[in-house]
Amino acid sequence: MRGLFKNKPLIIMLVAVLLLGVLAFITSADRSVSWVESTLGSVFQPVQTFAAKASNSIIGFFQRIFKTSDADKELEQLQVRMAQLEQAADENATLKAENERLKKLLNYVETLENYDYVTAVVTGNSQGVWFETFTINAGRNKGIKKDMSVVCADGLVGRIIEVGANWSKVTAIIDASSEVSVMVERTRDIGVVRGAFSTADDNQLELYYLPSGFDLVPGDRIVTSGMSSIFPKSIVVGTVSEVTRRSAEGTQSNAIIEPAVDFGHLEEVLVLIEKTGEE
Amino acid sequence: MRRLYIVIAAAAGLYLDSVFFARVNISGIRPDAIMALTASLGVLLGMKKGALFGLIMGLVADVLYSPMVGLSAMGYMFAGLLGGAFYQKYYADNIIIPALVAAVGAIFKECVMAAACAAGGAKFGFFTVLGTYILPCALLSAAVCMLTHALMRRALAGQLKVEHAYERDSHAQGGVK
Repeated sequence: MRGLFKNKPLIIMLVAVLLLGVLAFITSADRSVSWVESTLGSVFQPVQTFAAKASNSIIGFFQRIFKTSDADKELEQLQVRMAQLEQAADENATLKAENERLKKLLNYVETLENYDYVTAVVTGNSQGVWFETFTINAGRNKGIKKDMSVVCADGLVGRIIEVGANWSKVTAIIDASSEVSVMVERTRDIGVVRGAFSTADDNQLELYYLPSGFDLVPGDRIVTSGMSSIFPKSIVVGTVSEVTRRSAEGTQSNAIIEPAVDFGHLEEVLVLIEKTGEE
Repeated sequence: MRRLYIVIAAAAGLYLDSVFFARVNISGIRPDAIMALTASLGVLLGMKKGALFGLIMGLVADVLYSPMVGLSAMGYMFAGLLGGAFYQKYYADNIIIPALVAAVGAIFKECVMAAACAAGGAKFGFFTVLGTYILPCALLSAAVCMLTHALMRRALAGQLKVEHAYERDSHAQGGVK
């Protein structure tokens, strides 16, 4: 036993694990970002933004190549010329896709009358499946504050949980700890949507607390209820893919919801900033 | 020069884990590039340097992407220490040991993450997650570690030779390191 206490690496490891555990516990609570985190994030942000944009272009390029199997056959016959044309077409497609995404975002934003918005690029995702958080390249410099809503053209994405000088962290609505007050668009029944933990890429949400005698069918659209102070009313959350419990009793979820947003391919998002009365 | 290689490798690891593998993975199963790198550096440079590298990389990754700071750092530091336990005990070209270290480190880290996630209210069956996610991820991390170790061994080769020769001389002269 005495030998155990003489084992310096082991003692250092135990002390470090203890300190890191305490740190993780402290940082899991609602808090402001420390200056160390803010500075570290700011230093890495430009590199991250560049890496994320370059990576999206490269991945998009290869995805288009693999999707054009017919073109590949022609490519064998007209190798050099075709390759040049494809390269030009790929560049155009990248620009066109980006243009369409931004246009879609802009059209969407025009429907949110009481809100200004900040566009931001997703620069990094949390590792693994445990936490569905990601980092964006806009922070205090763009007027972003904690608990602001994050949306994209398809619907609700999540909320801001940490804000740095030029970066912010967003918790997606598919995170297991996330809860959003919602309503069924057709029947106006109010419920709560929670992120469902999954190890696969099939991001899903679970709908709870619908009133007794609720009427729900697959395909029903679920939108935000506007009852919380965080999310504005009527933002699309998803559609019902399966009704799991018909009665109001029991603790099982009422339905499985397919999120409107494709979280696996999120590139740009909008952070909603409520307009003040003076404006 | 060695530091430059390590910094480049660390940046590549961060990029792969946060951007590339987040988009390119096998049904959510993805390797842990930083874990692979930490395990390799632990075996190549020893316990102290391996653990320090793991701690720094973990803290950076946590601050940049994770909602809780310290969890990844714990896992990476453990892998650095574990790798260091094999420092100079096997030939540097042995890629099985670092791969095993990366796999064990990945399992440890994912279990820590699972515990934190469960404490936050997530519902999942641990053994289901172990079989469908943690073990496949550990296997992929081990595979990536084999490649990483081959690259890092080559990159750090000159420096390692000098260090080993210095240590041999110190021992031969009866000096205490």
